[in-house]
Amino acid sequence: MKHLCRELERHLESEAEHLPDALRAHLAGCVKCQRAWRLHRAYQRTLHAARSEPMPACELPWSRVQAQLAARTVSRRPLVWVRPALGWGMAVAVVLAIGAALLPWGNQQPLQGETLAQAQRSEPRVASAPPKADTTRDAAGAVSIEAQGVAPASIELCVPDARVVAQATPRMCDSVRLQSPAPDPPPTDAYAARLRNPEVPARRPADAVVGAPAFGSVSEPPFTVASLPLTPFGVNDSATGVEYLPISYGSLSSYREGSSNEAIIGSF
Amino acid sequence: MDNLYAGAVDRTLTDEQLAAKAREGDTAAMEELYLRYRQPVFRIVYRSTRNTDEAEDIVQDVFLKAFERLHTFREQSRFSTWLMRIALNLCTDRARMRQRRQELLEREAEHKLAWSHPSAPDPMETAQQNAFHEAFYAALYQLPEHHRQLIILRDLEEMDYESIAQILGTSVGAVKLRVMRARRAFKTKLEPLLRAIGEIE
Repeated sequence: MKHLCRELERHLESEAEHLPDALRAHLAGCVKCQRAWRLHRAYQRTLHAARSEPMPACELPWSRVQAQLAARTVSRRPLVWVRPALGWGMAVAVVLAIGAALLPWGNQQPLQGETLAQAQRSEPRVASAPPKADTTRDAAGAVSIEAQGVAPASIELCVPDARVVAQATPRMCDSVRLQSPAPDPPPTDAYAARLRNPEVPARRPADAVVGAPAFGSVSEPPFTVASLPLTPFGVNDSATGVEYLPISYGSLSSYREGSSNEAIIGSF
Repeated sequence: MDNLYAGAVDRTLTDEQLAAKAREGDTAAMEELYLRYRQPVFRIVYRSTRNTDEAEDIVQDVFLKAFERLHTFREQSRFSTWLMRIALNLCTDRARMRQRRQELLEREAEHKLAWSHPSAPDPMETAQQNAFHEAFYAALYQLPEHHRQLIILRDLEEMDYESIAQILGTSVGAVKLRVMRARRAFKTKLEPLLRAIGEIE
């Protein structure tokens, strides 16, 4: 019986018009199939009624559609120009962003063999430091600095800060102390003094350490460290007992032993 | 003599030829396509909405969308099926946007009153037809959208399975299976309504 029930169900779903005799006989004795049959017939009637429903005519005129189409075309026309512009704008922005991201790395790694002057030009803060590292050695007797045993890697590069000075300075000879000279006269005073006495050198001695703090006192007023010889290694001036440490521009990671552009230049 | 005015299009052109002209901006070709398919699209849309104004709005949207996207029309399918697909998609969007079944039933009641004009053949028969309509569409709007579309396309509009398969972008076998499932679901919804009006015991 179940087989015939399934057969009748399949027959009803197949949209067949006539019921076979076997299924008709089964239908006479199966209540479940009679119910399905009645539902199917009712469905057919409602479907027929729905199909015969009077369908209203679409009275939408072409002129209305055409006007809407024209309005949309006009309103969307600027997008034709905006899209490529946006694309180019995005491309330029990406290129600028990449350039901005790469630029600091390029500035932090000076080329090997770069001169001090070039380095000073590339480092704005260096400009305030006394020029010419070679003059430092000439007048080095005035200042005796001993910083033996300070590893190059421990030196803060590029712009040293007070902490680095504190690391380097305790090794100075006790007999020689940094003298804290008077503060820099205003440029106008220096210029006037030079006018009065032409023998006064125009440049301050390179070894002069301006505003150097007393040792052991990190909170002293800031000072400027003069530039030191550009040597790949530390310079040991046996005559004065001064040893200069090689200090490089650039970041700590950019320091390479043996590079030729080490110098101490910076302001504190 | 067919072209009675300047810019008129040859009415013997096929839909695809007209579509090619319309793609190049030929307004007369667009108008011809519109006149050919305005009513068929309206029928499908009206079956879904049961509201003339809303159906006309959707018809307008269908043709606007079609003409704006004619460059995407691939001539692998017929223009009519492509248009019907757009219509069904817009109907689906509308159905999702608004829960308007109750409103439609109210409009159906208004429509029923409008039919009761003096020239109606038989008041009893009309009342029975209206009861059928009401039950039919009440059950239809209880169906999910994908089932409802199949009932409309296959059972109301009597489209062949191949056309439905093209419209829905699927195979004929899949369409047959989905129609069968839609009918089962529809009958499940319809049965209590028909029982309520005494159509079945």
